[in-house]
Amino acid sequence: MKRLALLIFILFVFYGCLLEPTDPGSLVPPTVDENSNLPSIPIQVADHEHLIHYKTFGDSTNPALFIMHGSLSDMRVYLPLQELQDKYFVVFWDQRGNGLSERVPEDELSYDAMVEEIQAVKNRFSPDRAITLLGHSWSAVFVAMYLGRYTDNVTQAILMEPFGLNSDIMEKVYVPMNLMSNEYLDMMYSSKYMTPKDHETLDFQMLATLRAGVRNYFCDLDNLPPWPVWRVGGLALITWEKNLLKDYQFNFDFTPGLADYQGGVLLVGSECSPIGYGFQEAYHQPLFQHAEILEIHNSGHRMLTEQYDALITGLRGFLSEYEQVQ
Amino acid sequence: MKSYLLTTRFSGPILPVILLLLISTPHTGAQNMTGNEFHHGVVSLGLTSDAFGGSEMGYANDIPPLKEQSAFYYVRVSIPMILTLKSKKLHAWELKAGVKSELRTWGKVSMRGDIQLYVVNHQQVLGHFIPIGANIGLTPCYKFSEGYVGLQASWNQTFATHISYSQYARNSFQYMTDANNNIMDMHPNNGWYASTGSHLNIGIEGYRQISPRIAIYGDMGLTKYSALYSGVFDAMMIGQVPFYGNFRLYYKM
Repeated sequence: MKRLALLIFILFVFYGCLLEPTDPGSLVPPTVDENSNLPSIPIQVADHEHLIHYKTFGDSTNPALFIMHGSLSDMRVYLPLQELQDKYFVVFWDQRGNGLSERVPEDELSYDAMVEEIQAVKNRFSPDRAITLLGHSWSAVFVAMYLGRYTDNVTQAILMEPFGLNSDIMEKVYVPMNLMSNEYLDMMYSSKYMTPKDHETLDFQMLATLRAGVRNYFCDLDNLPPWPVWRVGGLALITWEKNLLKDYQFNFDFTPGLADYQGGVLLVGSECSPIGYGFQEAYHQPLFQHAEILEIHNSGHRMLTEQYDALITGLRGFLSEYEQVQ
Repeated sequence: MKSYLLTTRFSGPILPVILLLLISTPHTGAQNMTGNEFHHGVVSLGLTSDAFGGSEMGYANDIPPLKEQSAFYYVRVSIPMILTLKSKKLHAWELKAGVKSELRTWGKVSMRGDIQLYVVNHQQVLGHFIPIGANIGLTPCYKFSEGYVGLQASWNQTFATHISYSQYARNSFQYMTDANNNIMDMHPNNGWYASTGSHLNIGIEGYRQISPRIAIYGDMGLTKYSALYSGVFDAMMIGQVPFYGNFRLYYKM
């Protein structure tokens, strides 16, 4: 009996020494609300105030250029674009629920809330002057929505490989799902014993999907290009993807107001992605009054790490502040 | 008396069909009139189904003092076959040990209990994981001459998981900067993490002896996770609710 009591005591002591998956900085890096050393500002979106992680580069009197990361990402891989600070006040931030920004519940991650977030950041960094917006992947969709609603707030927009901007377009593209990749199967296997019951575990598990290539947007599925991040936003992606569907069918339209936008639009498309150059030219260019296309050769969806030089050259060729110099 | 178990896994809607067919097939040479499982001298083959597919090998034997209660213990090694075949190396396996017993009997109705401890060894892109946990199940069942069918409910709790982070996971902590643009020194800590997972399985199971030496076992059901975001990988990527299914073929030595 004494031995049993001793064993139970030892187990309790052992259990008390265990790490908690939800401890800040345990499984994933802490967010700005958990570590006050990280640069942050509060923004008010969807009637709630949350802290976002941000970085700015360049003279704040220059025209503002907002860089918006895609889903399952954060600003980290986009930071080389800070070189545009020679002509722009470059603003990076991790969207709410992503990267090192504060996590928010599902009902604060609606598409309308994401548009509201862009406006909230604009109010903070460029309240009286129109901005230039760059969005990649899911953020290119949010940029398109913002253009449709706030046409006068944007001088130029860069949309890097948005997927179909409405259901009809989306149904025309076939993106093969690779559910048999080792990394995806590993993630499924580990979710049995490490269930994503909180943001920390969910974000940690979904870090593996960046190495999985579940959707084939790549030139070589066996050698995925790197995509360094600090922390992905698992719930944000799940929420956004889920809301595209109604009764298991695509049911969305992000195009209202786009035809009224007078400014220049650059659609960037890669050579290998099924939503790359050809797709953008065929389905998205006609939606805008003044849209041009930049093709990035020998690249898939991860153009920033695959063909950065071609990308930055193309961006400089489009951006009006460089045009004036020339 | 020794017993062995070998199980393989598959996925798809064929599982419930096979299970139904096997359980409803007319009996052939019933030997075990109590409807109890073989619990000694067994080699078994089978199929199980989940998102990955896998196989099991095992050993089972009587617990003599509880023989009237049809109790036995077992040890199994489970290997996710698709993962193993695709990666061409054994980077995930699970060791299970447990006791299954008939707890109470009321004529043809009985209550079975199953308690199992497990340890997993899993090497993946995020690191090396060693979870330990337990599975506790109850099965009210109806016995017939060669077997039984029953409802199954089991709770699976991972007590703790040891994580050794990969360099890929460690990289996500690098180059964070503070408000003064100084690089922050942060890194994840290898160690034991508490209570990393849990889920509830609810379904049906059935067992049937089809010859003096051969018997089959099957179960199937749905997995309900205990947490808000759990099961999202199934829902997001495959568009299905999490499910499980097992099929085993026993051979009595």
